[in-house]
Amino acid sequence: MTVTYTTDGAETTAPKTLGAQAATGAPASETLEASGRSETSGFSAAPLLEVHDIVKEYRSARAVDGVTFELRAGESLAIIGESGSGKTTATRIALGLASPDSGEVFYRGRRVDMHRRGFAGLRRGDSALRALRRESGIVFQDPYASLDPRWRIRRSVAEPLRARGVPWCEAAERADAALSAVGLDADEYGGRFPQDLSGGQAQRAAIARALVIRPRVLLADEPMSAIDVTSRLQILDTLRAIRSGGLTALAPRAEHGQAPQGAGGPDAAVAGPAGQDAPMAMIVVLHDLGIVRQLADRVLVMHEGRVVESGTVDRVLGHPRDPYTLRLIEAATMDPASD
Amino acid sequence: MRFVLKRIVAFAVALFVQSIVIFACLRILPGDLAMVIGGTTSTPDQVARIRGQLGLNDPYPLQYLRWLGGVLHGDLGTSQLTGVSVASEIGDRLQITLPLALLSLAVALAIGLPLGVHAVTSRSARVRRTLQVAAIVAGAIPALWGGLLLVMMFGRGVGLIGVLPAQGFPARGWHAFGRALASLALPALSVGVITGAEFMRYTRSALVDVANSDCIAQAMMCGMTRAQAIRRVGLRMVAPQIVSVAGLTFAGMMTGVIVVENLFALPGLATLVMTDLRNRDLLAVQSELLLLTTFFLVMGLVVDVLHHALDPRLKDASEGGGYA
Amino acid sequence: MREGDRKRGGGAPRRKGRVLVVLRSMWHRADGAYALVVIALWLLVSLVSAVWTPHPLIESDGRNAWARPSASYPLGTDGAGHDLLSWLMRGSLTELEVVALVVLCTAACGLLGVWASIGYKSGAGRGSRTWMVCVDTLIAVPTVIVAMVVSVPLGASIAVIVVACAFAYSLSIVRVTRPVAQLAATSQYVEAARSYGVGEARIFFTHIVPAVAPTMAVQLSLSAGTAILAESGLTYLGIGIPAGVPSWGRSLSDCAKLITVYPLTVIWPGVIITAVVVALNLLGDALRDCADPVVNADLRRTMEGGSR
Repeated sequence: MTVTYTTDGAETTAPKTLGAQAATGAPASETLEASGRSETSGFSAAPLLEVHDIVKEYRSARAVDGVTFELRAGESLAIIGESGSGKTTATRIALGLASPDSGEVFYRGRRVDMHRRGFAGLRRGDSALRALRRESGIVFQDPYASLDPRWRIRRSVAEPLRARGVPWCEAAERADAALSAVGLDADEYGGRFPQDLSGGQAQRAAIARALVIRPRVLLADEPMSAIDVTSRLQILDTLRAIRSGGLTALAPRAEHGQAPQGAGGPDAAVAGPAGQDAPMAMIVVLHDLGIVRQLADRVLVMHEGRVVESGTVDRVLGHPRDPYTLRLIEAATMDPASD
Repeated sequence: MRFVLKRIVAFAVALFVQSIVIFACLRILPGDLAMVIGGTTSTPDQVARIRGQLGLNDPYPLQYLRWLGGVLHGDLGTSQLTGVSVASEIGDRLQITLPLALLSLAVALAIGLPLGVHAVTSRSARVRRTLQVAAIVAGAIPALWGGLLLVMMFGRGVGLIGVLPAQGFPARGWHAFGRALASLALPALSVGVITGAEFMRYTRSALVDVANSDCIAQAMMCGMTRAQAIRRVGLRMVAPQIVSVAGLTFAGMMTGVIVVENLFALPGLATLVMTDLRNRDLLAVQSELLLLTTFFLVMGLVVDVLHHALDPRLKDASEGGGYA
Repeated sequence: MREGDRKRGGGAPRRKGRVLVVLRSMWHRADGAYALVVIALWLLVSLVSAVWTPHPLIESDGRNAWARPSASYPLGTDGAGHDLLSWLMRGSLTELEVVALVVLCTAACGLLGVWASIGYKSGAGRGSRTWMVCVDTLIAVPTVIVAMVVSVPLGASIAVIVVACAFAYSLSIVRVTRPVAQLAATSQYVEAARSYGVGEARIFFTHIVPAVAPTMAVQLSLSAGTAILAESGLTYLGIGIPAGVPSWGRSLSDCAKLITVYPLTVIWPGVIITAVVVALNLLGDALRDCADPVVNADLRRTMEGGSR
């Protein structure tokens, strides 16, 4: 069975695996239930990333106040909210970059412990945390700030690989592949500096950097807010291609030949059927409802540190239950192309 | 006002910490005063007895407190070698080093400020470039060589125009005012010219930074020429920075003039420290170093307060104190 | 795609090509050219003097004392009959040692200090604030005093000069580079690198250090110049280069002691010292401008490699 989505008024089949096309060359068939759980063959019910009731206080105000959500392999979750709603903090906690004052984060079934220190106080002690860091990628808001202005693009894109000990030659090749995959000619742009690129190009390079390690979780934090309007389409197209599996060269791979870490169960479940590439999950943080439909399956609406609404895109946008969501929908500049 | 109080407290704390650091550092040094006093032929028993007399066998904290107590009462101790009060020795040296430093600073400012301004305002590019080159070269001259050149030119008995004394300080000190001043002339000049080159570069770069600012443009709209605008408005704007640098340079000169003092046979403060250090007369060295440190910290305090007073922008942001 | 194209940074020319471009840019500047020439001469003379000088350094007869400049003694002789030219030549090697040691130690201590100043949590932690307070207090300690105190256990030695200069300049480096280091440490690209699992040491050396490198280069070249000046002063005071070892400071102070006898011997050491210190100071400025791809368009063009 295939599911059809209407985007841009056209009917497309958008399978949820991002690598399956590469392996088989044909769209795989999955179903998605309205609640967003994927329960077909090849996907387990176990979520990839779970966040339970996290709380974070900044200067006696609760930036994040009891947020709970989960993310499954292969799905795309949008987190919407205005500035100050806590969405950035929540996602940082979810990806193990900040520690919550209370609450827990689970990655592939194992609890992520931010406070366990490894040798010499370096935060490397916890294996779940390490796995999360190793298998996640982030795209930041402002590419000119998140790319070192003194480094050339190729080097920035290859940095996550170099940090993992990949030798330069291989890292450079993979970086070039990543650049090509996001639509940047590696020969032309690889040797340039960030300030020589347009906003859209620089952000795409940042996306390439996030994808070059083949993450299982991709976080895009307001990826278009700092980009000029004319370049936003490029970013949107790139993200849509990621979501629909177009970026086959970069899809996450189950690490062949590597022994499963910790409990063998969760890994095998998420890896999908033998021989198939593991699907990537995406979290997109936005403050503009207009593009949600094009980028996400499920939506989380945050307001003042809490989740006020969550569900599939159709349900939340079509039948919002919370008045805040309603206000957001009314205020949004809806993309006329999406119904 | 709160800013000043905070700084004074910081100053007191820093001084206290410094006293401990000085005391501790000196104790680490090898060598024994008792042996110096006793001489090379003394027996271990004699040395031990001298140590006891000097109180060198007492535990360190006790020695520290004894010293600190004395200092707080104004008693800087007595040189354990010569028996002369440290305070009076320092006083003798200060009457040379302090005026020398002041004179050198005066020369440096007299050379550096006008030339620095000129290096920015002069319309001739050649003049500007010449001044820049002169400043770079003058700043690279070793003080020793500068002093020697001056002696060769103006030193009495040696130089081409032998008008100024090249050695020594009158025995009667400042009572022989004219001779004393003459003795300091050449040394002050040699230090002053080199430091003046630094001031000139600093003034120039500070003025260049403000030369394109709106304030200068505004002054020019009021009818001043660029040169006048920079001289009147620009100097006022960079005055706080220059005061800071001048103050800190002055503080540094107290020990920085040691080479020149040696060359011109002027018994100065830094030479005293060195002699006492060689003799391991630690009590004297402690008090001298503490005095120097106090002087530095006081200068830093004065400079900060002046800077704060002169720069209205800082007055609003004053709660940051020194260490934001 | 040639092997050479895959060099670090993805640019077509190798590192050697970049160095040549930097040198050429410096050569085109008046101050850069002067600096390069003088320093090249200095290096040349040092190397030569290591194996040969016109006359042996220690002459056994003192009959030739204070001879005027002549064909065989181009600069004359000093009070013991030693050829001044030979001593100055050999002294250049000593100065090279001094400068090399000072620059290395200052760089190492400076980097350590920078690392401490950004500390854990990128400069917001208590540790780094305490460290900055320490730096501000220590920086007030006069270099002369440091040299004097250090000379007590060490005697007159090159180590005294190195310690005193490294102490002063590494603190200065920490203070001067702090804003830039802070900016880099709190930047988003460092946060991004951390999120990709890049280790703290790697972040420091690949992101923070390049950010402070230009400022450090200027400070290091200033410290090199000061090292030579300090050497002359401290040797004169008796706590620098030990007696019997040739150095420019020693030549200067030996001549100074007997200035009444033959004043003109003092000229050459001073001129040489001044010339070299000027060259070192200018080197720093020129290097900072020419090695920065943002400022030097030629370098940028070379690094970007053109089309392949």
